[in-house]
Formats: sequence, C-alpha cells, structure tokens
Amino acid sequence: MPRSAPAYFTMAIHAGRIGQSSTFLCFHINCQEIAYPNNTAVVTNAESVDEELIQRVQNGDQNAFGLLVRKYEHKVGFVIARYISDTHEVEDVAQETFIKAYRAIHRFRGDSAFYTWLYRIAVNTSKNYLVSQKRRPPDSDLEASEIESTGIGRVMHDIDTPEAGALSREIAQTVTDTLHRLPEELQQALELRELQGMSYEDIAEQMRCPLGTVRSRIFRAREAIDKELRPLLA
Amino acid sequence: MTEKLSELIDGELRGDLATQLSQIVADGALRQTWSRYHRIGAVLREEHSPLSADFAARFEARLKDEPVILCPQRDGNAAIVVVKASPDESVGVRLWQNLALAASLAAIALLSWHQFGNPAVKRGGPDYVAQLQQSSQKVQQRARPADDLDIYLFEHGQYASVSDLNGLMAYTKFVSYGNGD
Repeated sequence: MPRSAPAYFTMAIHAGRIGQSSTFLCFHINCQEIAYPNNTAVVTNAESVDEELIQRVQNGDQNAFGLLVRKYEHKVGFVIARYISDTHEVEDVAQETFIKAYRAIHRFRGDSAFYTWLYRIAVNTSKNYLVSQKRRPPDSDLEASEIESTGIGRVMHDIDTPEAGALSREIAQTVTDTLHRLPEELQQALELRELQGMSYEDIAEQMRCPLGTVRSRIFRAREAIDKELRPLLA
Repeated sequence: MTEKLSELIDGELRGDLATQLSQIVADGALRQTWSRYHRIGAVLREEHSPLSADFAARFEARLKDEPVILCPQRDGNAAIVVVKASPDESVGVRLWQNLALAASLAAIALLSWHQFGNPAVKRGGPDYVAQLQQSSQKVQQRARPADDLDIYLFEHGQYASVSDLNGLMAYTKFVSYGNGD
C-alpha cells in the first residue's frame, strides 16, 4: 500500500484471550514519519485518505466507515442501478454491499483501490440478489473504470420513482443552477476538479493562477452550492 | 475547517491528514458537510444514484448493530483480527452450545440404558446366569487354545469377575509370567 509519507512503521502487540469473554488486549501503534522538504507541507492524495479511513475502521472506528459510505454511496448506488431497476431493491442491495464490505474490511490489504474492491462487492451482491429473485443477471460486466469513463450507467437506469426522483431532480437542479450563477473562475475550477479529475497543480497551470487561488476557488464554489443544498438535505 | 475538508476530499490536503480526519469523524456537522461535498461531485459527474438522501444516516444506524473490529491486519504483519460478538451472535453461539450439550446427554442416556438399564436381563438373576453359560459355550465351540497357559485362562475365564462393562473389557484378562514360564 503506497503511502505519501516517506516512511511508515507499524508495530502491533497482541495479547491473548482472557477467560471466556471475547476481550483482547490489543495495541496498534503507527508511527508515520512525515518529511517536509524545503519547508513545504506534505500534500496528501485521494488514496491516502481512504487508507487512513480503512485503517481507522480496522482499529474499531465505525464512524470512519460511515465516512467511506458517505463518500462512495453515490457510486455504489449508481453501479447497482445498472443491474436492478427498482429503487427500494437498490437500497437494500446497497446496504448489503456496505455491510459485506464492513465485515470483510479486515481482509482488505490495499492491493487495489478501495473503490475497485467495493465495486466488485457491489456487482457480486447485485448478481446474487438477481439470482435469488430468479432473475437473470447480465452476461457481461463493466469494470469500475469503464463505468466512470464511459458514463454508461447514465443511460442504463431511470430513477423516476415519484418520491426519490423528485428530491434527486431538485438536488441536481440546485447544484447546476448554483454552479452556473457562480463567477466563471469558480465554476471552471470546480468543473476541472470534479469532471476532469485534475489535480490542483494542473488546474493552476491551466487557469494560470497560483495554487492557493485554486484551493480557494474550489472551496468557495463548493461552499456556495452547499449553502443552497443544506435546506434540501436537512 | 471546511476549507481543509474541501482540500481533503480532493486529496490535496496540506498537513496532517490524521488530525483532520479525526475532527471530521468526531464532528457530526463536518460529516454532513463531507457528505454534501461528495454529493455535489456526484451530481456534476451525473452519477445518478437512486439511493435516498438519508441512506448513509440509516446505514450508520444499522452499522451500530455490527460487531466492532478491534485489531487490524496491516502490511503483511501478523495480526489478530478480532470482532466483538454482537448480542445476536452471542445468543446464536449459546444456542449451539446448549444443543450440543443436550445431544451429548441424550447419547450418554441412550448408551447407559443399553448398558445398565435393560430390564429384560436382571444382573444375578436366572436369565443372567443362563445368558452367561450360553455365551461361554459359544466361545468354547469356536476355538480351542493351543498352549497350557491359554488353556488355563480359557478354563478359568468363566469364573473371573465380570466387569460392569459388558463389552470387550469383560473378556480381557491381565496376566503376568513368572521366571521360567
């Protein structure tokens, strides 16, 4: 598992079982050595955020798993909806997917990205669900990266159930309307980040502005949209 | 803090990731913001998920019933993965333990009845003696031992004390040889 920090040490000390209870003494000490060359702070990356959260879950922090769910619920729901059209069934399968992931997270070793691992669980859970319902799963799968790059899921599923669809449409409308009302530089910075997946450095180069300005623009754009979104999701 | 959160979501955080994440994990309002920021990205990417807006909150409530993972497995180091049993699991384990115990007691009771409780043959009664003589005759008919020691054991075997166990042990004799025998 690659780390952004130059060195990473892990020491685990485990004591045995006490009596008949399931109590274990467990100490897990992580020593992360962070270097700041030329007085520049180390910048983390998207993978290291997931790694840190996974490590916390593996150390017993359920709230950390909640953050992973909040991060990936849209992607997971989007993938499951390729297989299952009923909204309530998608919810059930999504819950099952995340529960399976949580129960198996101690086996996640970081050989692949967390989302790739989660995606396979979502696909398998969807297929198993269809089989259990005596329905036929599709013959072929798309890989997680293919779905993201082709956007094929967009045309394969329609979420027009009255209640879910209404709120989803309102949220989508609010986000796009607010984005289009923003100053162009804020709008462009956020789009380059979210749609193109560009790094701040690349955005700074493209927009010909300092890195700090990119940070600020993306944050201000998010904050403005979030302000409009909050009442809808309260 | 929300500016840091924005950077963190993009994997562009400057500084200590662990500290920032600790704050987000612990703060309900920041978790909501984390959720909404990710939702904004999903909408812009047109990832139309049919999941309801409160999916994550409902899932987190369900997650509280799950066992807590206490020890990690990291970087190939030997590590123990322990889950604290949930109340449901404890009940399940106890049920199986009780079933196993009940099955064992039933097996012991059945064997005991066959061994000691068969009312058809009372120990020491005429039926019991007749049964012993019958089985002794059967053994005599089957084979005649070859050497003197075996003949002695065979002839006196029927007078030996009979164990309560009517199985193989009843026909097992322990002998020792003296000098020159």
